[in-house]
Order: sequence, then C-alpha cells, then structure tokens
Amino acid sequence: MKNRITEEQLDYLKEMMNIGAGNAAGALSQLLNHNIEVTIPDLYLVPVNEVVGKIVDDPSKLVVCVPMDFSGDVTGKIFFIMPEKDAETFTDLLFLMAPPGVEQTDKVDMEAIAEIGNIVTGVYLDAIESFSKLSISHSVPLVSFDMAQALLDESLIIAKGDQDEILVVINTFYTKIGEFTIFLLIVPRFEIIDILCDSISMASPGHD
Amino acid sequence: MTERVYRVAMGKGMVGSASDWDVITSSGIGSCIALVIYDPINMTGGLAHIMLPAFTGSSYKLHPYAYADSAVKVFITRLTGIGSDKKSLVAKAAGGANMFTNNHPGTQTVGEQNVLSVKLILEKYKIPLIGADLGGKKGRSVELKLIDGGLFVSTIEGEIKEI
Repeated sequence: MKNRITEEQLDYLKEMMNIGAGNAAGALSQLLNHNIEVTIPDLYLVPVNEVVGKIVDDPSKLVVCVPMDFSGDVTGKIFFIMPEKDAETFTDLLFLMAPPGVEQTDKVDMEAIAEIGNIVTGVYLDAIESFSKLSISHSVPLVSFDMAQALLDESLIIAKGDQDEILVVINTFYTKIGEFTIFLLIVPRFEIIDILCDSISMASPGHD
Repeated sequence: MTERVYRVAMGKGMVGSASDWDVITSSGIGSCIALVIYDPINMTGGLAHIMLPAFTGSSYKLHPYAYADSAVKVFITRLTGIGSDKKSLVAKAAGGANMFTNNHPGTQTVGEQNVLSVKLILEKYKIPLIGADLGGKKGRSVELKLIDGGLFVSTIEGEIKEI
C-alpha cells in the first residue's frame, strides 16, 4: 500500500473519531430525548477483502446501509451501517420516545435510520473538519436493507482499484433498553489519508 | 449423509464434479455475478463469484475468477481438463443488482456492466445461457446442485427460485 498510515497518524484519527463519537451521542440524546452513552470508538484500517467480516460473521447477514458521498478538500464514500439486531434495538428506542398515537409498523425503520445516519455522519465529519481544517461536505443519504456483502460489494470493488485498506470506525451506544453498534466505513479516493494526515500533522502541536 | 458444501467467497470460484461436492454456494451477491458453467453429461460444473466485467491491465490483482472474461476461460480449461466436451457446456447466471438508487442517471452501474459483459463473453465462447436471474435491486444467495446443475437463487424476502 502506497499510503501506509503511521501509529501517530492513527492516534490523530482516533482522537478525531473520539470527539465525533461524543458529539454523536450528544446529538442522539437530544434527538431521542433520552440519555445515550458512548464508548471510545474502535478504529481499524481493514484490507478491502476483510471489511464485511469486520461487520458481520456471515456475508449474507442483514444490515441497514446508508451510503453517502463526501466531497470538498477530500472526496470519497462513507457508509453508515447498522446490523439488523442493532437496527431493531434502535427502532424500538425511537418508538419508545415517540409521541402517543405514533405506532411502530416495522421492526426496522429504514427511513429513520437513514436520517440518523445522515446526522451522525455529519457530526463525525464536523469533528474531522475542525481537527484537520479541511472542508468536507456529504451528499443526501440513500438507504437499503439487505445482505451486508451485497450492499458493499460495488463500493469495495471500486475501492480496490485505488487502495487496499478502508477505515472502519466501530461505535457502541448504550441506552436504557439495550445497546446498539454502528459502523462507519470511510472509503477514500486516492490520497485522502495522506492529505488528511498532512493537515492533521500541520494542525498538531509542534507545528504551531 | 451430510451434504458436502463448498462456499465460494467474493472474487473466487470452484470447479468440481458431483463426486466431489453436492453443492457449491455463494452468498451476498449484489452487483457481482454468480456465474455457473455446467456440463450435464459429466455432471461437472463450477461457480464463480465475479466482481468485475473484464480483466484489464497486465497482472491479476484479483483472482482470475473475479473477472467475467478470465473466469469463463478458467472454467473452460478446468472443465475440459476433467473430461468435459466444450460443446456440452451450458451457463446460468444470477446477480448484477443495483443495490441503491443510481445517483448518476444515464450511466451504467457496475451491475449492468457485469451483466452485459457476462452475456458477451458467453456468446463469444458459444456457451448458451440457459438460466438467468439478473438485475433488480436485491442481494442474492445462490446454490448450485452438482448432480443436475440446478441453480437455486434466494433473496432476503425468502423466495427461492430455481433457474
């Protein structure tokens, strides 16, 4: 791989994602009017072939997937993913907090998850932006509920042409009715990790 | 007797006879294509989980089974190697879905390119495509029965069809 990331750079990324996770929990708490706790996110650089295995134990397991394009100083694709069980917990939570008269119709509310994906992704990108001083925006989310590998294969194929590793952020949120885990896949185009890390290094103490 | 099942991962493939395996299966097929080439006389066949329409470039970055054109070539070599007559080979294919709304109308999705490429290559090698379940918006899983070449395609809606 041409742009292998150093331990130091990975630490910066972790710090950014940590801020992102805290802000995401805050945004979700406010939105759902319910206290939501979050752990420090796990962050991995995963070879393209192993990405699906990082999310589910079987490639045909179901997930809700919200893909978005991001653009600006760096471009690429970002996926907000919730495995079926987590999506169900999240949907339960959503309807627990719903005003009276609003009935839960589906075990997994895709539209709501698309919107949450949109908001949470925005929060993470904000954290990256403010940390790295890069300008990044993201597109309107799409959503689909299907087999994990089927949803991701196209993007992984495209990513395979550009680089060998994808950034996977795993975050677990704790609520009073249970926990749910989200996965953020960041599939950058070309030299994004370099650009990102350069600008982080520039912004980090020692370069001030 | 337990069924002898071989699972093909994305970008890989397997060729065998009914005496080696009962079933060759692959799951989580979105824009990829599960291509089966089968020889009904010898009860031999194979399944490839194809990712890309064609092999371009000078060296294989992925397995030859990952590209439609090289996969067909490997199938022919392997199957004739274990006694098949090229003339008796038939093909079946499933996949080539577009999992999300096409953001760029007027352009071909990876799924559509894969479908087109598989059809052209089969035509080039004169292998008839006798069963197909292509396109759409849903992911698929497939099971090839080596005893008769039956290809069972399932989606998350629970319907299973044989092609």
